[in-house]
Amino acid sequence: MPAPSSLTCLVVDDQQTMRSLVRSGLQQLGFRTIYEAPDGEEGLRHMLARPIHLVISDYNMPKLDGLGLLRAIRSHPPIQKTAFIMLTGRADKELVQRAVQFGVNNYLVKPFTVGTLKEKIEAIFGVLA
Amino acid sequence: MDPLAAIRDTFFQECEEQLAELESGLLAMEGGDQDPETINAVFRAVHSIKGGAGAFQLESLIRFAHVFETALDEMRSGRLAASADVLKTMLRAADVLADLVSSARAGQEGGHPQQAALSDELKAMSGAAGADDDGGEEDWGDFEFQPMSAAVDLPADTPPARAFVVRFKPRADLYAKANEAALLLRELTRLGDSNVELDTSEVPLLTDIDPEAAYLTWTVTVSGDTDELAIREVFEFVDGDCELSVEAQGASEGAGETGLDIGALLARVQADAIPTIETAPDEPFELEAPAPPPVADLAPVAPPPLSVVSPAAEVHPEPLAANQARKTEAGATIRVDLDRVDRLIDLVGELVINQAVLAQRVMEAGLARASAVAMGLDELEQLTREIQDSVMAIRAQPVKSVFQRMPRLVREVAAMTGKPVRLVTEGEATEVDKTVIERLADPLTHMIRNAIDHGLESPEKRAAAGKPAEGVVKLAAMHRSGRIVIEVSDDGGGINRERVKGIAIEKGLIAADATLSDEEIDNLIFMPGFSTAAEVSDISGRGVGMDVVRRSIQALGGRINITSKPGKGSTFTMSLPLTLAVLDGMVVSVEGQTLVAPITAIIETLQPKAEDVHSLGGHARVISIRGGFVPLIDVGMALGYRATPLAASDGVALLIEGEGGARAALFVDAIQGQRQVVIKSLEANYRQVPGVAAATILGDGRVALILDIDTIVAVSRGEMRKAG
Repeated sequence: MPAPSSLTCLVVDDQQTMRSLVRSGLQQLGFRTIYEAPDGEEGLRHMLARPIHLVISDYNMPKLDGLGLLRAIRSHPPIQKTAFIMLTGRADKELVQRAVQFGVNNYLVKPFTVGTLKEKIEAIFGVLA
Repeated sequence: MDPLAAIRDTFFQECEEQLAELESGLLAMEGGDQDPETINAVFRAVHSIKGGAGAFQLESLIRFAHVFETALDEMRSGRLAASADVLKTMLRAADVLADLVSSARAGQEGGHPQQAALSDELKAMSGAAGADDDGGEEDWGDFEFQPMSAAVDLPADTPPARAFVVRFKPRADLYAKANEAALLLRELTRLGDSNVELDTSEVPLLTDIDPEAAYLTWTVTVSGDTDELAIREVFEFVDGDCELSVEAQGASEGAGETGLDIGALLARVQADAIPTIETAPDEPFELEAPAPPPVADLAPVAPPPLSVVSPAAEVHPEPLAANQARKTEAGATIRVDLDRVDRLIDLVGELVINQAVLAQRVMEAGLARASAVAMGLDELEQLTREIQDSVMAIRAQPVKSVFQRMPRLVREVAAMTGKPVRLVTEGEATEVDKTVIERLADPLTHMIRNAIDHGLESPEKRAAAGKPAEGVVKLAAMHRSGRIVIEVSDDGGGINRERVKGIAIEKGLIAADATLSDEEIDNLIFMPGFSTAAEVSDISGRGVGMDVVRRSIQALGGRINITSKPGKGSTFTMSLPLTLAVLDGMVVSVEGQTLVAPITAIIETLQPKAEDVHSLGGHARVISIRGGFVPLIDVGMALGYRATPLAASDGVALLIEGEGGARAALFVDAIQGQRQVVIKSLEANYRQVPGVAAATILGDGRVALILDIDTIVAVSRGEMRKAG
């Protein structure tokens, strides 16, 4: 339902490659405002500074990892309602389970296609305009 | 470039960094590092390579990285002990991974000869867990994800207008340190619509006023498109010298959660890290009414006005501090295409030449030294130099990038020779031009191979000599008088001078009855044709002798020599220019030609007296300098400009130090002056000429040749030997 161009995204991953890949996917889906951060701490800084609708974050990162970021977001009312998709390196059921406990909205296994990315985002927001 | 290809490039660049991180982490662990962050970083490196490889379908890389990652995961979780053997295997796996990355980069996805064997070793290490492969995700798909329809505030086309109430109460210290509250407030009010209130209630009666005390408190309400970080930045430099609180107004729904700063938030996440995961795994997550964080006992009961140091951060300062320390690792950098830098350096080179031409023209025009134009030119010259230095600094890189390839080499050669070796590196942060670095890898590789293969003795011999079985090869870099010096040393047996001399005689490199100093014998190994067929092994004998090493160092404008102590080891010392683009030169004239001698080689200049110069017969001459004799080389004759030498009193001698510390005097007609010149390759534009290292363009637009001093000295010495 929402137009992707009206949503702001934050991509958090310690690898530039992965950030670029996610960004490129998001752009193909029509997203326009995409921020990047190399770790959870930087990601959180972004979120406290500007409104973000969707976070796509890696799990394994230096400093604050993906779960830590998710928990920080969920425990802080001003940013609590931010959609969160966890990127995982492998199909790690345990990790996704833990993330679910902390209120993750979906997950994405690397490597992913633009199709899967779209599917996961639409599972949260409804069909993208 | 197609975007995916650009990302692919990024991927391989990142792989380089990750491989370096992987290796240095494993080496650190081998050295006893038990910091969990080290193994995490190592794991992450492999994990990231695998992740990226997945995106580009690099199958054999993915497969190997996966097995490697699994083993590292075992180690990370403590199920696999980081023993010396395990780490050795991991290091070999890191080498294979590096090879797989480079073949993938080259577009060859063929795998690696050792891949299968190492995979098996790694799998054996990981035990049962290794078999637990990616099971696919299809069979575990019924998670209850947080529904977002209710959770996300949509649409939020305009960010909610937020207002912050900033309470600012300077302490006396703030004023004492010459800070001005008015300036801070002015800065603050620039952030948005502001309403400033001043609380003067603490100001005492005039008679009681302490002129150095602080009595005022401001309350500023800032609204508009700003955030807490921006507000705190205003007060960044007076942190600690004031009471400051920043509270968001109206934006928050949760009670007592307003304006939590990032430090507090992080501390809170870290503080409750363990309990939350373990408590009530089945408890559904309620987004609408978030469970109060279990840190309630840590956090103060009443909603705290946000102070500079939040209570939560005070309770748990250690994790934060550790995080801060790690943060400094990655500096702010940008990646720039090297071509652009090269182009810039080229242009600056032209600028330097142009500036010199201009200076010359102005001088020819007869303008006074003190004229505005001449003075402006002086400033231009200064600026040009600064620009040049700064541009060069862009291309300068720490030698680390080439040094870090060496541990692997040492491991391999050590394994092949059966000699235990420890590599010690020093001065990895020493910076030198990238072009120099790139061309250092081959000579260094060869020298290190040599040091292990020929330099170090076998463990038995070492034991017999009372040395530890493990040999040490040291690689060190340092800056010394405008050049970079790189030393490769070993603690082996030193040069076997008898044998070297024997070989040299056998190969006809020296006369059988030649009397040579120890130093001269040691330097024989650099002679072309010295490399001994009898010693060709898999390791050193790749058809490259030390003469090739010397030539490649010379091609870089460098010198190499060796010092050796019997029983103690040998040290190869290379001295290289910091850049290949510019040269500080002494401009001289010879027989109407303008030539440039590198200033780094010149020790002093002198006007010889006729009685100081002695003929050795033929055209060979020596000059006596403070009691010692050095060969006097007529540059005009050496380069074929004239057939008979210039009379001793008609020219100037440049005392130079060539490779190996040998001294000689170059005899030229006159000195014109010192100048920084931009090096233009003669080889690239014409062809190589013996005795000439390169060319340059001078201020008057003429081309001048740059002398290759070492060759001139070597050739003249050979002739002198014949004459003598």
